[in-house]
Amino acid sequence: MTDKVDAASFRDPSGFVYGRDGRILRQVNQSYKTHFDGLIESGLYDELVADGLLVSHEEMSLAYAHCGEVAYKVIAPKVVPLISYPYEWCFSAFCDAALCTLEIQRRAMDRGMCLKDASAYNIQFVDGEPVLIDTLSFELYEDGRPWTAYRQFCQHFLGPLSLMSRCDVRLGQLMRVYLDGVPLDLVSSLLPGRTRLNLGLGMHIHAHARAQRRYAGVAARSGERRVSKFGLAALVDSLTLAIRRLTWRPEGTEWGGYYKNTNYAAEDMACKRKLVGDFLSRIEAGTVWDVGANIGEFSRTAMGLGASVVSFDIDPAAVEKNYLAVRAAGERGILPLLIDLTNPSPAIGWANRERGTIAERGRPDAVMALALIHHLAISNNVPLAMTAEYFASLSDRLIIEWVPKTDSQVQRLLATREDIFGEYTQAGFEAAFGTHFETLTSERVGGSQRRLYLMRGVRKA
Amino acid sequence: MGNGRMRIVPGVVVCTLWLSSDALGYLDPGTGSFIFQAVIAVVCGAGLGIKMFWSRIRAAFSRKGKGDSDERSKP
Repeated sequence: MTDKVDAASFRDPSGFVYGRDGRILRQVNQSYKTHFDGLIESGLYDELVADGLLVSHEEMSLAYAHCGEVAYKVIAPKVVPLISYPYEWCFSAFCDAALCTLEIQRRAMDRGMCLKDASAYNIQFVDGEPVLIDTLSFELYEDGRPWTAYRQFCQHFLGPLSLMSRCDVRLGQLMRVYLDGVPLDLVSSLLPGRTRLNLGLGMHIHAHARAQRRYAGVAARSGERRVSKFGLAALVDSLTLAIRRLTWRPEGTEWGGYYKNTNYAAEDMACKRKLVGDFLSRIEAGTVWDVGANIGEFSRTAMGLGASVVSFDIDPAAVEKNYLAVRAAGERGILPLLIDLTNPSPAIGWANRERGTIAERGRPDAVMALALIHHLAISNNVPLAMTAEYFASLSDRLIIEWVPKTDSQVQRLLATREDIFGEYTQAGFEAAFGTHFETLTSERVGGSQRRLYLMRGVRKA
Repeated sequence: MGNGRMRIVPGVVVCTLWLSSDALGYLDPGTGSFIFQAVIAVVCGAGLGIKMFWSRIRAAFSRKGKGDSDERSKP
């Protein structure tokens, strides 16, 4: 028996997550017994699972326990296809995760329970919807007790979302720096002064940050501070309103109108769509990472063939549009994420092991890199060989589009810089990728100068 | 909360905290959050109470209005 305890599962004494024989398991400790029983017996678990707000689990035999002496239960939660982090979510996805947390807290209170955590990392997107994955986040509600997760909610959700909405959407990346959410004094100092007059932000951010500073050296006497159940419900209602009033329009960014500005003729675009579909069908990819997906045009081609797709893009506007399209159509097969491929999500947290790199969190059947290679090679000076090596580390199958130097889009990239890219030729591309992949087939994309390759990783001796 | 008067009460409490002096140290933001929450829950509770009261009044009047128009629409 060799269990692998999840590196992010050490803060909560209620239990922990570990892997055994390819299964993800969660041990519930004796110390959490009354709260776990409360979750089940109050009917809250059934209600939340039925409405898709909480991940379901199967109860296992105690023989599966990792530490038998303290184990109360062992559960096997339904597996989330890909764990994503708040700094990889677009604005609307982040808002939906916040509202999901508040809705769960509201329902929990109705059934005599309460959320003890409001960590954004506890929410994941499954089939296009936010869902709570930490079954041990609940505790029995004690009359008069303040909401212990209030500060965490403000730091993990309201703070970063208000910065994204009222300052700059790119400030969501602060979540990558601050593991337990963005400190409220920082949020307060960055927000425009007029937000002090906004009821929700004035209270939950500015006055809250002020109170934190004011009482920083005061010994905690939380037992003396009582919050009525009605007051707590009103607090949750107020936070919900504050989140709902935050807006962001995806306009004026680099790629927002990309598909209106391509140099593809309509028939070439149709040809590309068909080729991508043919290649995907040939390899029968069940999971696909579409890197540089823009608004997910070809992710939908893959989804149409039954694949579960993660659409990565560097542009917040493109990811937002993609997410809104997923939400509007109720698409279950696409997860749009904000990833800069030249600086992908790093490993962060304690010992750099709490939150994994994107490559550590999944291995798709295929990677698609369409109309991307020139941005990596020419805009970012990444040698072709290094791109090939990284793609080979992600998956054994690759669908990649070669965009030659004569292409008008590449000429645009070269217009304001010296051409130092002598290796950027079709022969150089095939040689660089040939080190890691063998080409199964390649086709010219209609009448364009571009070429689409289907590649398979070569096993190194 | 669309009513302007309903913003006055929370506004006063927020300003009281807002204009308070700085503490010397920054040791535990959780203590401030707990104390602050006890205050703000009262404010939010008052706001929600007024909102619920107001919506009941409006609902009563709109029911009455609707009832009147229903009466008038009867042949």
